[in-house]
Amino acid sequence: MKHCVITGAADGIGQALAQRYAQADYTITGIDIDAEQAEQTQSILQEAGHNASFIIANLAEQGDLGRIVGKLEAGPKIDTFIHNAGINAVGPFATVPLSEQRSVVEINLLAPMMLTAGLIKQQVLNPNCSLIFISSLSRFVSYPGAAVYAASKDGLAAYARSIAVAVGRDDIHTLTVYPGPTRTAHARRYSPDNRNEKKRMPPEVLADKIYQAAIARQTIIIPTVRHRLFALAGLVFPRLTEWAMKKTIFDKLQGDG
Amino acid sequence: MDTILITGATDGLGLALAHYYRPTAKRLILVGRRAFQDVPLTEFDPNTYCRIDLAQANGAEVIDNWLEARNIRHLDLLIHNAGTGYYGAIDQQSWADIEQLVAVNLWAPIALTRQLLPCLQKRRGKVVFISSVAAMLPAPDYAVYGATKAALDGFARSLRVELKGSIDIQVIHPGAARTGMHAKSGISRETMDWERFPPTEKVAKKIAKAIATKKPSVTIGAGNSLLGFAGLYLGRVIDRFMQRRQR
Repeated sequence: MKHCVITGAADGIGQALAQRYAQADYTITGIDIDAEQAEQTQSILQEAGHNASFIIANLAEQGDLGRIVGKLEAGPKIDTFIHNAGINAVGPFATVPLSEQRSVVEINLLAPMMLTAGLIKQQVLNPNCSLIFISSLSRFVSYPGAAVYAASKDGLAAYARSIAVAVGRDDIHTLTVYPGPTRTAHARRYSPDNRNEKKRMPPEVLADKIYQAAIARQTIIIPTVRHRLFALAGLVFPRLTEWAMKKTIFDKLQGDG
Repeated sequence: MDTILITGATDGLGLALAHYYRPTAKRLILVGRRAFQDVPLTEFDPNTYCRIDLAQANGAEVIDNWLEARNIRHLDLLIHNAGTGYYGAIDQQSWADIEQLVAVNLWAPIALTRQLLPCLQKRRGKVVFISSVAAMLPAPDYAVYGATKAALDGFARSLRVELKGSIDIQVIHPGAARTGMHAKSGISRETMDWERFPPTEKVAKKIAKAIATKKPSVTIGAGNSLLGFAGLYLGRVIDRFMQRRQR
């Protein structure tokens, strides 16, 4: 039986990924800070007859990261590791408390880099293992109102790209995902306007696309055609997408404040 | 330019930038980690040199307090130049090293920008991030370094939109220069053929010229521009080429 580890697996995209990989007969190890939600997700998976357990940990704590690597070392080797956990802190950069911004860097960027280094060092990854990094569409189009989040996701994508070259020689595969808004509690929490929530991609659809891309050993995925076009526009006409992001996000966030 | 603050000013590009701005700046504030007595240069004096290790958590506050104590409450130009490197395999780098790189290269510029926003706003000032051409390319031997520089790019791109009309935000991507960073990162001068890199004075002059423009993002040097362009727009081709070189 293959083993899939997912950070932030109790809810949202992470939970959908856990379900998708469980359906494909993987043993699931979830990592999450929310013990209650983790227990719920674990029972849902177990009741459906899947093998699932959780490690409750705070990715912003180095001690917890050490504990995670230790536990994973003791378990079966890993075939897929998904760096999915992420938080945001939205609002004008000048007003969002710096401590919140710092947690964004720690959880979205520092933790994945530390965990990856730790897992490779302790040799807990199977040959042919997939490392999956959930970045963001903001990599292409900027994200005013969440500048530090944008920083963390750009950093994560660049790290994944370097890792792909570095570990490619060991047949480890990497996939970087650039999702746009997804229909999750995360998006609802951070978006200034949820009236169009139904337009957002359901997490189970995204999870399936990620799974299929990983199986096909793709290296990059932008999940929808609409978002691919938006990303392309960001590369070719950055001023245009910056203006669009300012109008649809930042101006509304400022309006709230 | 009236009041300029440069971080990482005791060595390399930061020092060369300090030399460049010295004759014209009304007030040049230099930030560095080295002890005052170890900085053997006449342009450093206790009223212009703020000693601080930017890896420390409250670095931005310390700098702000230092400025306040000297009654400096406005800034025209803030240059985030301080940076540290690491060269080696991913699993060889300790967690402490990864943490230090993120603290100095990414967190310190974010926190200092935030802390000094009021000073910059008073003068409709400018914030310059010294990134690297490595931010646009895969960097298998310095993955964390590349990630911190790419993160700065992402931060700057979004912040520029937020602060449009009140503070200018610019990112500059130099390539390698004849600085001490390579040796400190764990790569010998022979391995990298250090002498082929341009001297810091030359790079600093080009950086200063770029700062004088309104361009949001500038890559220094034609070769680096070409590399950066290829890294951004021919992503997969470059990645495969690099991967083959690794084998």
